[in-house]
Amino acid sequence: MDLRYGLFALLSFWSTGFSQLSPGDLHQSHAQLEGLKNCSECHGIGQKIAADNCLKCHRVLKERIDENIGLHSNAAYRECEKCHVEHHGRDFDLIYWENGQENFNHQLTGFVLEGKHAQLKCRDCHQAKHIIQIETITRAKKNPDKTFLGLVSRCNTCHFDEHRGQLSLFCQNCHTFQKWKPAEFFTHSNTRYPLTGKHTLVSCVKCHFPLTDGQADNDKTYLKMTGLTYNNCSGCHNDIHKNKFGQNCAKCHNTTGWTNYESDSFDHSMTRYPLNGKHREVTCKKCHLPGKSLASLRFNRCLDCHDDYHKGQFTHRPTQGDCQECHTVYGYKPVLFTIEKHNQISFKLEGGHLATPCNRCHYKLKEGTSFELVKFSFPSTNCIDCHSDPHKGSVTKYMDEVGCSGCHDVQSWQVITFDHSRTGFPLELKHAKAPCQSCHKKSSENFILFTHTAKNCENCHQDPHYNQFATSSGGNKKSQTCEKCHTPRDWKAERFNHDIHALFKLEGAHERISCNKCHPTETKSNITFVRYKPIPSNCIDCHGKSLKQEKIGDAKIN
Amino acid sequence: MKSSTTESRKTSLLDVILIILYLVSFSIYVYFLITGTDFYSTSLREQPHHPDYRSLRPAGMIGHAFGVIGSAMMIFMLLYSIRKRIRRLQNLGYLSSWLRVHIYFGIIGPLLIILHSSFKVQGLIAVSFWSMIAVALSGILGRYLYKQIPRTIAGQEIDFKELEQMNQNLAQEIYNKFRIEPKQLESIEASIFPPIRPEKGLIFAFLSMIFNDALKPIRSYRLRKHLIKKLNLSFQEVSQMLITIKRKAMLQRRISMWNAIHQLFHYWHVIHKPFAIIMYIIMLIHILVAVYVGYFWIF
Repeated sequence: MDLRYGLFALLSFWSTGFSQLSPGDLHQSHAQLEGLKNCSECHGIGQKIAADNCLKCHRVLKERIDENIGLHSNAAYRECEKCHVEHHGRDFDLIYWENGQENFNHQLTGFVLEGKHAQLKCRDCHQAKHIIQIETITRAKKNPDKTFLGLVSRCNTCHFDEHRGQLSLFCQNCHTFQKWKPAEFFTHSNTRYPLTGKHTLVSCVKCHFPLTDGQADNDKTYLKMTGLTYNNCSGCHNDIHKNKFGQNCAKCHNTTGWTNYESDSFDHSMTRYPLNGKHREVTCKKCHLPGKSLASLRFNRCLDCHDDYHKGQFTHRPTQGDCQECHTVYGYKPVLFTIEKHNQISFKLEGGHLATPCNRCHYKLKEGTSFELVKFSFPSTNCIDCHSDPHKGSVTKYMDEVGCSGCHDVQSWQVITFDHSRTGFPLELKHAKAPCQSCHKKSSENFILFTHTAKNCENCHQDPHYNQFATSSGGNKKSQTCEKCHTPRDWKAERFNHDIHALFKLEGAHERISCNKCHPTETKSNITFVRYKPIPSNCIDCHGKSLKQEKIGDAKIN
Repeated sequence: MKSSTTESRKTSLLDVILIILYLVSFSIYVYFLITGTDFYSTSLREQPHHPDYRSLRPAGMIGHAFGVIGSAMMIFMLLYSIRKRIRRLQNLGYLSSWLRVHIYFGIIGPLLIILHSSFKVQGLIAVSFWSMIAVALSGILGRYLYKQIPRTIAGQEIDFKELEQMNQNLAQEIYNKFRIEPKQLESIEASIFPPIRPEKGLIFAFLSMIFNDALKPIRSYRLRKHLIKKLNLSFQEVSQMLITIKRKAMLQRRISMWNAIHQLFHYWHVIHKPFAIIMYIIMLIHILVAVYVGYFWIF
């Protein structure tokens, strides 16, 4: 009876087939291994899943294991079935992620996911387009979009080479996994052109200028990293000197700043403005102010650098006050403005002016101050602008347009050319020969008084006649009438006619006697004079007693 | 009578051992069932992605242990068959004791195998698995049928005539103790186990037996209340009376179902044994293949 049961069971087993020994369908990639005969293709005798059997087919993986790279080279991952669970159906996910795919410790593969990489999904990197040798993958009958093989830890397998092959492919030499910009590991000091001074402040694109190409869809620009000319500054900088000083900019300049040039080594004679004289002694910064561009510096005029010492007093001149008209770079003095040049201007130096020191006219306007402005600008060339008026305005009415030159000239003060007739008192005869001061006396203030000079003779001359001819006009004042008898020719009384002007005609013997017979010389009050009046006209008066004559004289004088 | 007392002491010791084994086994089983609930309730396709997969999968350290121990228990079950069939071993303990041990292995073993399978059964081993389930369930059924056949403590069937004699003796005992007339007793017995007519078919008779057994507590409860009220006896007196009457009623039903039970038991063997053989053969192949490909567990 039991035998029948056994036979039934055996037949049942036989009918179901040995194929049913499989605990489940294999994955579709292993479907060709279905069947009892193929068990040992994967299962080694007494070895569970023999990795070597797996690696017979998974040759790409074996190569990596042999090269000791990748996750599967790790001893802990030699047992395939730990992660790759089979017999769960054709479409079962063959990869078992112990802590979930998202939590896979990528460090085990030899490539640590850091920074941005740690935030990526697996398939962001593991996709066909990133596989280096895709034909190796396809030849191994692997789906390039599902395999995790084929990637290498070179950045450019996944990332576009932003530098277009200009730089090393070891991007992490400069960049971090956190972000592409800035390149935190990059330091220009490791390059063949370390940055110093101002170069450290310049943005990269100033030197590494952008180029464009069509290699990348989303970013057609990239920076030029190689082929830059850095031996010469002119590779990046415009030669502001137009190659006048050669290409070795470092001879004068350094990277601390364009204006921080080395002056000692610079030959200024190479410039359009060679330094001579005093200019050789001044420091560069006296002209080339720090921070100011040399290019904009003007040097055609001294005033481009120098302050106008004369405060624009010469700007009216044809040279517009160019200093070089008078000064040289060898010193402020001597001044080149010679007398000859002075004589070319509206005020020529002649006569006494030639002997006058310059500073008598061109004096310092503000004595005793640090600022010494010398007067060069005059409102006119009138003498009075320099000279004081010794006449205190007394001759102003005669000066007209010509001023002092109406009387004086620059040759001598003493030589006077004045038409005295303008005063209403023409100088004639003896008057013309008389020195001015004989009439125009110096005042108590030591100037010659030209005003209030009366035209009366007695105003200048002494009355030798002891007021014998004084007449009253107006009040009690007496005036002389010298001109009735005298002329300026001489002192003789040319105009006196004894017969007309005197009460006593000279006739007869009277014509032949000397005057003093009738007109005796008298002295009164220490004044000696000739008696002309009153003279008695009676004969007895002259020809009588002498005492009586004395009485007549006393009465007349008193 | 003397030997019967001795046998009773030995049986009690085995019972204690089995109770302890059952308690320990179920405790351990429930522990793993609870701790592994998350894994076992995971779909088959997702189980490999479960953290406990490495340990609870059939080839895992724990899952494999379930398989090895469960398989060992399934093999140990054969000891009962050997003991039953080999005459030389007839003196080696009572067959009923062997059966209890057989039943213990037959309960715990399949439960362990179920955990071993992690509720994933496919391929050829599924045949073995479901055969095991069939064998286990039929074993429970067989145990039920086995109990319907009165036996000595040693497990040997009691002769039909002897049964009838026992039935009469019990009826006399009840009368002596409780003064219940045979007709009245028959009526009481019918209220506990309504008469079954085997001639209506074995299946009907079998289902009726199970149905009556299922309703037995309720019927006993109602009968007790009825008797307390009718006979004006105390609860304890009626309870003592019912113990004897229920023994009498059970014996009476077994006598009436004698032929039907034996027929059912015969057919039961036809189910139980072939599935057991299929199970063992495929299990053996499964084990051999597993060992062949290197799954030795701790060995």
